[in-house]
Amino acid sequence: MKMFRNLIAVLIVSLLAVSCSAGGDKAERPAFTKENYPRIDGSTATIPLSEKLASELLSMSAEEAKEFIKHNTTHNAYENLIEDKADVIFVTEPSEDELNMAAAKGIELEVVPVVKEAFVFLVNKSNPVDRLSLEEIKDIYQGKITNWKEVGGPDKEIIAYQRPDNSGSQTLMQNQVMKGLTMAKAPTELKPAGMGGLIEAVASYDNSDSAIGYSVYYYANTMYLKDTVKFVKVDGVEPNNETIMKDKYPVTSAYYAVLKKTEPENSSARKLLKWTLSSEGQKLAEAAGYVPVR
Amino acid sequence: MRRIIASLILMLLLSGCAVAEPAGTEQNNPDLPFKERQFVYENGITINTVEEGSYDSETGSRYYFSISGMKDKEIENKINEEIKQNMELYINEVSNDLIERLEKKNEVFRHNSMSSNVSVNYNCNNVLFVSYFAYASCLDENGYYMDESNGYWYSGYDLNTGKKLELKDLFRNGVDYKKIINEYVSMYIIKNNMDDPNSHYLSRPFQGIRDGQTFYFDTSGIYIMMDEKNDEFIYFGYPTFIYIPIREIEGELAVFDRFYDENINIFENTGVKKHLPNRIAYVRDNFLDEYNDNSYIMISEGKFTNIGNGEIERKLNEMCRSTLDVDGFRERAKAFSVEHPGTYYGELHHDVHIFMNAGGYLSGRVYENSVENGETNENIRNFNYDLNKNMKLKLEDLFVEGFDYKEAMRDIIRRDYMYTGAADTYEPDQERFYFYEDFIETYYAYNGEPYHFIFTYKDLGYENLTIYN
Repeated sequence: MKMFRNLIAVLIVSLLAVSCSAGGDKAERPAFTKENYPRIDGSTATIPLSEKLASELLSMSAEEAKEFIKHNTTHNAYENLIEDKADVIFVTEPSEDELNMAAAKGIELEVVPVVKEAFVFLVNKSNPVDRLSLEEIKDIYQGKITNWKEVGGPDKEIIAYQRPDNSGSQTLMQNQVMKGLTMAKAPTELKPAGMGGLIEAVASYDNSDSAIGYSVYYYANTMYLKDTVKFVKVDGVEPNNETIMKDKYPVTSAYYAVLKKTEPENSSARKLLKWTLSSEGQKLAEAAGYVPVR
Repeated sequence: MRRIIASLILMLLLSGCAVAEPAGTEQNNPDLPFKERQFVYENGITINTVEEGSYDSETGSRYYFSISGMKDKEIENKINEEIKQNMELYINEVSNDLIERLEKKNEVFRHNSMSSNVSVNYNCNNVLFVSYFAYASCLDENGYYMDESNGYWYSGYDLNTGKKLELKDLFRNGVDYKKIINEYVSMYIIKNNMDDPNSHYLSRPFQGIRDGQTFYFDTSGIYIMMDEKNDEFIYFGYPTFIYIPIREIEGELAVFDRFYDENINIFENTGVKKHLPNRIAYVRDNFLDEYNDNSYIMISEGKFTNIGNGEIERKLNEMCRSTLDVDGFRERAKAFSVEHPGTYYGELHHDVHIFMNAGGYLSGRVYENSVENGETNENIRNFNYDLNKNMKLKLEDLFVEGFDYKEAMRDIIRRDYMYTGAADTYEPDQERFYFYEDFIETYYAYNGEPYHFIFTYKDLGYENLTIYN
């Protein structure tokens, strides 16, 4: 645990140092070719960002960029970075496991936020409750608040849906919202398994008027949900591009560019990072549906 | 007031004088609320299946069909021609796709298998939906399976005109069908955790259905196929299908009425009624699948929802619960294993089978079976309801008055079954039976032995069945 605290400390210092130095309104547009373009990997949620960057900086068509960019999901991307199979990865923040994995190889990671992300809570449009405090959300998910009337809604049991264990969304919920608090048992349902049997699985969000669920803003905001679900205001703040960018929304995070701290200053990975953080790069990210960091 | 009445009369006269629209327009076929609809009519066409070639030949196998029995032979020929042409087109497409892929990898195409299959998804109320599947695979230089390519395609036809149907044609005029489908797909994505930062299904947020979106339809609902146009869906070697149940869109559909006029038969024959699915669902909420050293327990329980009659729903749900003593069985099996190690003790089974769940009819059975220490106990509880009339059905209720169903069944037993002796005394149990869309299974204890007989409606005559009249 002590080692983990030290790593976090290093990470925070890196975050601060890099966000102060790597960015800038104007950055030289790197002259990339397919050959000298950094090896990229990342989470699924950052594929459009990587594709847009490649498309812009390598003058590729969207189709060509799709062929060129391959992301292997968050954990595999960290492994690839550590194993020197990738130069820069676009991912969610490193887990304790991933930090330990890097430390075991003597690698210090530099973690730089490149676009903002937020964790949003969804309820049915007909649910009269449109705001919850972060503490209330924690209490709901710990099973301490079980009825909507306790948070100003109707006398109805709250069905607090969760995501499957080990999924990216569930990890974010545990790390960013619950922060060590034990979550109540999730509603379960029987789902078909192999050989005609059934297995008990975490129940799907059903958008009934008693339901509450969660998602990441990037997906939830860009899909066709406006007439079906609404985002809960957390501590009175509605999640939108502005409140997320300005860190007013309380459950704000980011997608990060992660590279090795030893990466040389003039390496292609650093050049790409610098350009991504430039005003041009941030505009490009915004056009791809992300919330810019500034 | 007189002016208003005069205007109304004038409007009525004008509307009566208006030129009648041909079948296939909404003016002639006002959309009925779906909730009132229990059935549609199968088209009076014959589906003639054709099988050609062999899958391992260079040209591959083709399993397809042609239609016959339409009054307008031009439309019939057009559709038949199109089905054949499409099939050839698609089989070539998968084959070329495979060759192209291999060429990119500098590998040589060595033929292994090639086939195509064309089948009917929906064939009612003057609409025909057809699905195509084509497949090709190849071998490596040592003769081992190497790679494959496949594809799915769908076409829907208005049989009045032979015109191909688009997604919008399924919906009532003025309905924002794209919005309905996009919202449903988005919810489906959330429900299935496809919107995860590490999603294995989506490479970016859902971009909405596209123009010319691939889909097909059957009596259970609409199936949206996410194909190469929907490139945010990650392709796993087969496309993602998103099924929108009919109950989610029932009020918005026009496909049952838009192309159908009950006064105009465009076929040489009359099609039989086809019941539409009920809104009733049986949701399994308890499942036990337990193997022990000397015993096996399989309990599958659930409950009915949306029956629309609280009393029937309560009774049915009570009836469908397990009456088996699972804990006692476990203890007895455990004790037995101590006394007789390595010897099989027995098993418990409980399940509910639903056969008919359409047209306002519900038929099924609860099956319970215990085998303990060599002794078998079977408990079967049948349930048969006409929910249109909120009544429990006896076997005799399935037949129109005056029809001697027992005699008809006896004749069929004599014709189809070896134990013809049972026919002479045949008296089917009025409670212990179940029925489906095209057959009934009855129970008769003959000489103390249980006998189950199946009778198709074709043999009994659809005209003799209340559920079709």
